[in-house]
Amino acid sequence: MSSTEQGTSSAAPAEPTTAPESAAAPEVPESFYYVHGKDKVVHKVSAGALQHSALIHGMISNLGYTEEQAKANPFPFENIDGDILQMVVDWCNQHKGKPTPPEDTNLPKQKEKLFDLVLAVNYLEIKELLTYCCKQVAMMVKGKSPEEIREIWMIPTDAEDEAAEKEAKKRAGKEAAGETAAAAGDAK
Amino acid sequence: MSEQRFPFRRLPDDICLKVLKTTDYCEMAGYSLVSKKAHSMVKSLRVPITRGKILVASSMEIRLITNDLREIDFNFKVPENDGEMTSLNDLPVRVDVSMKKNLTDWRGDKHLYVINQSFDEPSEKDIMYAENVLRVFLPLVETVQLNCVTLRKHFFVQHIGMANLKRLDLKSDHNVKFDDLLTLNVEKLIINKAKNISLRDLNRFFKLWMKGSFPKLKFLYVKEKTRTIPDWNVLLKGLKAKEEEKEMEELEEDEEEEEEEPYVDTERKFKIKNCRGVWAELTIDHYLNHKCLVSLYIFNS
Repeated sequence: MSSTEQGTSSAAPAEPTTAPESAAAPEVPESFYYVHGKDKVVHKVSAGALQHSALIHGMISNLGYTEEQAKANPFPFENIDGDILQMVVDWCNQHKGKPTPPEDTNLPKQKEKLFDLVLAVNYLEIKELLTYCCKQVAMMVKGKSPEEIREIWMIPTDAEDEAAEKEAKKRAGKEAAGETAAAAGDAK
Repeated sequence: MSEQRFPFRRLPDDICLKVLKTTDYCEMAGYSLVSKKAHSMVKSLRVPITRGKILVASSMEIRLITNDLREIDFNFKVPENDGEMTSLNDLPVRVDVSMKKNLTDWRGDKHLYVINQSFDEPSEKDIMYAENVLRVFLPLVETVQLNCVTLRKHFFVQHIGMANLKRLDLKSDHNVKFDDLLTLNVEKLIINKAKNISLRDLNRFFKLWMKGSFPKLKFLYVKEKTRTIPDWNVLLKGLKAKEEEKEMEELEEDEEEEEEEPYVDTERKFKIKNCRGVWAELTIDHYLNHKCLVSLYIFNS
C-alpha cells in the first residue's frame, strides 16, 4: 500500500502520501506511473515494478512520459476491478527487480477473486504472476476424483454442453435473421 | 466444497491449457474423464505416454506410465447389478484415478499388455472384457502381449490374425490352437509355456515357411515344458536343415571356467532356406529342467 494512493478521479490524481522509494538511490531517480481500475482509484507504481507487466511496459516505452505527464494521464484499466488491480500492484511492488520464486506465497489466496485475478493478470501480461495463479487454480483439484473436479471447476456435463451449443446456435440464427430484416428495412 | 468452486471453463482456452499443464498427470487424466470437451482439451496437450497396462481383474484397471516414469491408474468400477458390457463406453460408472511414483508396467511405443492376474479359470465376463479391450486397441498398437488371457473360439483368427502387428508375445498358448497361429501376420512371434504346440506342428510351420508362407516373419520363439528328451528328428523331418558346427575354442574356454559343474551344451543350430532363397537359423535346445525351446531367426533377404 506504501506506493499506492487512494485518489479520487483519474483526471486529477492527488499527491502520493508516501515518499518515493527511489530516495535511497540518489544516482538515477526512479520514475513513477499511475494506473486506475474500474473504481477510478489511482495507484502509483514505479517503472521498475511495472516491468513485470509486458502490456504496461510496452506502453511506457512507447509513450516516453515525463513525471507530470504520467501523473496527469493515469493508465485506465476499466475492465479490472479496483481491488484486483490493487492486488496486482502490490505483487508487482513486492517483486520489483527480483526474480520470482517458483513457490510464491505472497499473493492472497482468495478463491472467489482468483478468477478475476487470472483474467486481469492475463490481460496485463504478467507472465510470472500468471504462472503462479495457474498453479493456484491447479492446486484446487489436487488429489480430487473426476466428479470432484467437475464440481470444483464447475464443468458442465456433455448433455449441458450440447444444450448450450444448441441454444447458442438458435441465438445466432435469430440474430442473423434480425440483422437481415434490419438490412432489408434500411434498403426500403 | 462450495467455497472452492471456480468457473474454470469461463477462462480463455489458452489459460485453461496453461492451468492443465500445471496440474499433475493424475488430475489431468481425471479432468479428461469429466466431459468430451475436457477430454479433447487434455488430448490437445499431447502428453507423452511411454507405456501402459490394462488389468482385467474384478474391475478393469488401466495403468499409464508417463515420460517422467510416473504411473497413473484408472480403476473402472462396473455396476454390480448390470455387469454386462458390450463396449468400452459401458465401462465408467465410477472411475478412480490415482497416481503412483514408482515404476511398473502398457501402451506407449504402441505396446499393449493384457494380463490375467487371476489364478482361477476366467469367467465369461473376464473373457468378454479382455476381448473388448483387444478389439479397441489392436488397430492402434504394434506390440501385443497376452498373459494367460483366454479368448473365445473365433476371436484370435478374426481379430489378432487380422491385426498388423510387429510383435505378438503369448505368455501361454492357452486356448490358442496352432492352426490359429498360421493365420498371423506378425514379424516376431514369441510363445512361452506352450502346451498345445507339438514338434510336429512346428515342423509343419517351418515347411510352410520354406514354401513361402509368412513373408513378414522375422523371428519365432517357442518354449515349452517337456518331461522327455525331445525327438528332434520329428522337428527336422523334411527341412533339409544343415547343422552348423560349433566353435571349439569357445567351448574349451567355457569348460575351463566351469570346472565344478560341467556344462552340458544341448543347443544345436541349423540353417534352413525357403523358396525365395532367404536363410534362417533354427536353434533347438533342451534344458535339464525339462524345458525345450525352438527358435527361428530369419536373416534379412
